[in-house]
This record gives sequence, C-alpha cells and structure tokens, in this order.
Amino acid sequence: MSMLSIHRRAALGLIGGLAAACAGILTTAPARADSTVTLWSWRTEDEAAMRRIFDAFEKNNPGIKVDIQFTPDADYQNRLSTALRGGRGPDIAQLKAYGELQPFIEGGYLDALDDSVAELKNMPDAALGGVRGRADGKLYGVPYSVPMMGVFYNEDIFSAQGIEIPKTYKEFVATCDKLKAAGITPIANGGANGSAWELEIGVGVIGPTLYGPGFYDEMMSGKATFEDPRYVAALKRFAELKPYYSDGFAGIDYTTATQQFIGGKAAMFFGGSFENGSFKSQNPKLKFSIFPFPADDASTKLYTSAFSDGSYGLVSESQNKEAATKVLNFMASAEFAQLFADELGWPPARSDVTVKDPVLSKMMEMSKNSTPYLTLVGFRWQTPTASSVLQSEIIDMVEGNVAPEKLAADMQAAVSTWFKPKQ
Amino acid sequence: MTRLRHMTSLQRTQQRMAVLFILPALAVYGLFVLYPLLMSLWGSFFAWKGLRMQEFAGLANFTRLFIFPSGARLYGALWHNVAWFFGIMLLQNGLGLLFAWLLFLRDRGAAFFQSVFFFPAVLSPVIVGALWRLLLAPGGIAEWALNGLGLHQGSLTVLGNSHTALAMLIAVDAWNWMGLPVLIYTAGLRQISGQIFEAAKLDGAGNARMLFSIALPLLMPALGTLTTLSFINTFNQFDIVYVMQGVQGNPSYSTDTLVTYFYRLAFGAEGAVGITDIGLALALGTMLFLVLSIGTLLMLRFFDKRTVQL
Repeated sequence: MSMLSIHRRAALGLIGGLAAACAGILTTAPARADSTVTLWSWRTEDEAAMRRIFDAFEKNNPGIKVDIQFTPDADYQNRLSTALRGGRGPDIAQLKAYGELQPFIEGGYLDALDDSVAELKNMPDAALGGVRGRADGKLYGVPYSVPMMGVFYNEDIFSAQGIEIPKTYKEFVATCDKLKAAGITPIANGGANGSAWELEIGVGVIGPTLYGPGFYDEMMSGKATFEDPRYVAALKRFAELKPYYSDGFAGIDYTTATQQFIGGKAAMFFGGSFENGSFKSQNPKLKFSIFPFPADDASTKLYTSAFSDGSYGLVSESQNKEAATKVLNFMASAEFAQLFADELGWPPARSDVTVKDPVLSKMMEMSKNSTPYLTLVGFRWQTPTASSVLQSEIIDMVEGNVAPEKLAADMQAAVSTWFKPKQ
Repeated sequence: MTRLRHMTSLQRTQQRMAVLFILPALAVYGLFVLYPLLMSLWGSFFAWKGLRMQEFAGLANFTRLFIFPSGARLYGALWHNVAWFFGIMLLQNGLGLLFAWLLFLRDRGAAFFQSVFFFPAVLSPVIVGALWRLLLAPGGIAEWALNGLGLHQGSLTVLGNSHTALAMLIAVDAWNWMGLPVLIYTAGLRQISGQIFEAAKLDGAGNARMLFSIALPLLMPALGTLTTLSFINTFNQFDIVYVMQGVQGNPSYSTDTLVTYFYRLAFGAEGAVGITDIGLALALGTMLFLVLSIGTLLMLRFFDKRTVQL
C-alpha cells in the first residue's frame, strides 16, 4: 500500500473514530475515495473529452478517482521513459503502438493484461496488433482506437463549387483544378518544422489505392520491397499533386495546414481519424466530411490505411494495481468505446457502438476495407525506421530535389539493416 | 623555531579549512559533472535494450557509429557542425569585429549601438528560433519585404529547402549572438593604448591598415576566446535546429547536427518514433566530448602562442 493511501486511511480513521470503532468502519465503508489512479496521456487536445469520460467512470466507481495528466506528444515518450526508469511513473500510461511499445515491455515496466482484462478478447485484431509484445505475444495495453486515413473535405466549399466527391483519380485532379481556378487552396498540406509525419500520412492516404490491400502481406513476407513500382507510384502520386498543395508547401507546417482547412481557406486535407474531434472543437461551424482517396478506375474497391493508435497499459511498479486494473477494464468495455466515439469522434477500438456522428460513421464505413498503415504497422520496429527516412526526405521529393525511386531505395536500405521477412 | 612551527601549524589549519570549504563545491561538481560523465562513458561500452543496460559490448557501439546506417548520419551531422563553425566565425565574429571597429572609430552613440547589437543575446535561442521561423515562413514578413523590393517572387520557402535551410539557421544563430563579439572586441580595442593608433596615423596608416596590422594582432586574446567559445557552442548546437526544423534536422537531414542526432538516439523521436539506441547515443556523446576537449585545448594553445605582448 502506498504512503498516500495510508495517510488517507489514517485521516478517514480519525474522523470516523469519533463516532465508531476505527477498524470496523475502515473495512466496511464502501463509499470512500481511497484510491487515486494516475493516468498519463499525450493527447492534450482531448483533455476536456477525456475528463468527461472519466467523470462517468468515477460516478459508477465511487472508490476510485482518475487523475489524468497530460504531456505534449513531442515530450511524452521521453518523459514516460525517464519516469519509468526512475520508478516514478503513473499507474496507467498511454502507450504508443507496435515497435515503440516494445522497449517498455523488454524493460519490464509493464504488466501483461491477458488475464486481468477479460474484455480484450472482444477487441478486433487490428486493435490488438499494436499492443502485443513481440517476444511473448502477450497483450500489454488496452487499445482505444483504430484510426484510418482519408481525404477530409469542406462540404460547404464543395457544394458552393458544385463539386461531387471524385470517383477516379482523374476526377480528383479535375476537382483540384476547379478549386484552384476559384482561388481556393485545393489541399492544405505541409510538413515543415518537424511535422513531416503529416506528409507520411498523406502517403498513407494515397498508397492503398495504388498498391492494394495485399501489399502489406507481400512486404512482410519479403515478396515486395519499398522499391516495388506500386509503392514508388504512391510516392510519385503524392509528389505529383504538389501544384494543389498549400502555397509555399515546403515552408508550411502541420499546424498552419490544419488552420487553413479549419478556417475554410482550403477545401481538402489528408488526415487520420483523430482530426475529426479536433477539427470540430476548433471550429464547430465547419461542415466537413471524409472520403477515401480515389483510384484510377472507378470500379476499384477503395482501401484505406488503418492502425492501432495506441493503448493504455498497467505500470508494473504501480502501488495501486487493483484500482488501476478496474480503470483498464472500464477502458476495454463497450461503455468506454461508446463514450469515446461520442466524445472524441474517432473510431473506437471496439466496433460494438452506436454511432451518432456522421463523419465518424463514414470513417467506420471506410475502415471496413482497410489495410495496415504500411510504414507504421510494418516498419517502425527498430531504427532506422521506414518512417524516419520518409519523413526526412519527403519534402525534398515533393519539391523535386529527390527522386521518388531514390527515396524508396533509401527506405529499403534503412529497414534492411534490421527487417527480416517472415517466410 | 617555535615561531616557525607555529606558522606552519597555522598554515596547516588554513589549508585544512580551505579543503573543507572546497569540499561542498567539489561534491556538487563530482556529483553533477564527473559522475554523469563517467557513467555515460561506462555506458557507451554496453549494449542497451530499450532503456536498460545489457551485456558488455566492448567497442561495438563506437564501430557501429561509423558504419551504415549511422555513418551517414554521423558524417552529415559532423559536416554541418563544421560548416556552422566557419559560418559563425565569418558572420558573427568577422562581422562583429567590423562593427566593433566602426563603433570604436566613431565614439558617439557607440554605447547605444552596442546595446542594439547585444539585444538579441538577451533572448533565449528558443524564442529567437520561433521568431525567425515566423519571419521566414511563407506569407511572413521576410517574404513580403523581399517581394516588395523585387528581390524575390512567390512564397519564401528557404527553411523547407535543403539547399538553403542550414545557411538560414547559421545566419539566425549569428544574429542571435552578434552582440557578444561586438562587446568583447570593443572592450579589447579600448584597452589598447591610444598612443599606438596615433603613432600609426602619423605614419600614414589608414583605418583598414590600422585594423588588420595593429588592432587585430593585439586583439588575439579576444579572438582566441571568441573562437574557442564559438567552437564549443557550434558543436553543441541544438536549440535553434530543434525549434526551427524539428529534431530530425529536416529537410533531408540538411540541418542535422551532432547533438540533434544524439537526441534522436537517446530519446527517440526519430521519425516521431520513441525507439532509442542509448548505447550508440553514449558512444556519440563520448566522441563529442573528446572532439570538444581536444579541439578546445588545441585552440587555446594556438592562440596563446600568437598573443602579442607589448
């Protein structure tokens, strides 16, 4: 038991002791707030929504309080590793998925949840893939979302310009031309100043329509590489759309690009599901929705990149495991998934929810045809990651200083240092 | 004899007291400087998994630094640091000398201009980086001014261009610390006896001749100090890159420095990814420490020998 709760109990005991025998009250009183579970998260933009979700939990579990602490994404992983090494971590930590999770498992900082969180069995594989320990196959976190990627578009601009959702790539380009002629930035896009991850997402939006849903397995088994013409074609297409990106693309960062879309200056935005909630909260008046990036042929079934965004895990050194496990069980429940969908508007890890938000229902529809987000799910297990090469060279590729073939070759060379295909 | 013995015992007590007084400082120094330094040196000989030190690896981390894929990053970052150093020597210390000389020649208003030059040094490099990022962004003031003057057309993307980004960052850094050389050179110039300049003037030396043949040799200690400081600062360059280009030194690692590379290895963030390689990071840290120590010693010796005594 932690010092904190001993003190709390002692204080309660003193108060209670005036009226009755301390021991009796302490063991039987059911409604005391004797446990505070600390939870760390990097989603600062979701603070209010998360607070509301846990208010609902606290109402039903009067013995447990959840203290959510937020650290901006850029510093989060650093802060968490330092805290865990020093034995001063939270009870529950938000965890990145796939390769970024492994160091914490290998370091022995997390408890496996297979037995303690029964509801994990009701979660889809797309969600659980991100929380599995590579060495032992156990589950180390409760996933909260399976986001996917697509083209967000401003419905007001589209209807004012008489534009329909493009069915083919040709139509997409025609749409961009029309918007440009009307003086509207067709696609808000940019990844300057360290936000090139947004450009990687752009490739994740365009990619599946060119390399198809089977490409991920081919990559994993070593049948295909990044130098495959289908992947190079995805890079090329991303670069080819440069005339339609924000003016001064190479100098525009993610924040500026989102502001252009949210402010109605740009008609489209390549993004992941997580934008839904933040777009809405930043401009409640913005009317927008999402569509999958079109393929060359209108009859092609459109696939979208999907991944497990992250999870919440139990820190091994937590002094508060019983209460923390209760919180994690709540986060794995259908009730949490419903609250998550309602409050945040991005696809929850469980699919057994009733969706009210139209954009979210579009996204859930799209995610039925999904393929793993290649660079993240497959190639972020060790450094150098495919992402690190892509993110650093992609601005130069769009600007025409680096050939798409060269970028693809660099990505392949980098991951070849550690990636072993499964036969 | 007795008096002498008395003295030595007093001296001994004084000595003991001195040691006692030094101890706290020594303990702090040992704990916060020597201990981490030795620990990181020790750690660089081990393989790391995630966040924990695993088995002894000998020099494996050091050899790994120089081969693919780390080698490309190391040489790239090293080259950027070297370029940065020469850029600072030229833009900051060179122009600084010129400004100091002009202020020295025209004494009126010197104090005012000196504070103008020194003003940016009051600001944190983080603020300076953020400020210049805004100024140099597409649609920013720099673009507006350059387009207005007809020197440039369209949107300004110097920071997103791998050919110009590094030079821009070096210029911003030079701007930030310009006041320091101006301050130190002016102080140095004021210490030179006015008679020397008068004599030179009578001999018919012009301003340029006086600067290069008289002032500069006498300013050798100041130049030495500034060069050494610039060397240490540029090889530790991190904040401006971090604020203006992100920890990957984008685009295409064109602004990557040894310390941003170290940061990625030690704290992750390589491609916004939290996978660390602490063994490699510590090896790089040890290398950087050696380069800086040896470089600094050599520089101090170099300038010591060239100091002119009158």
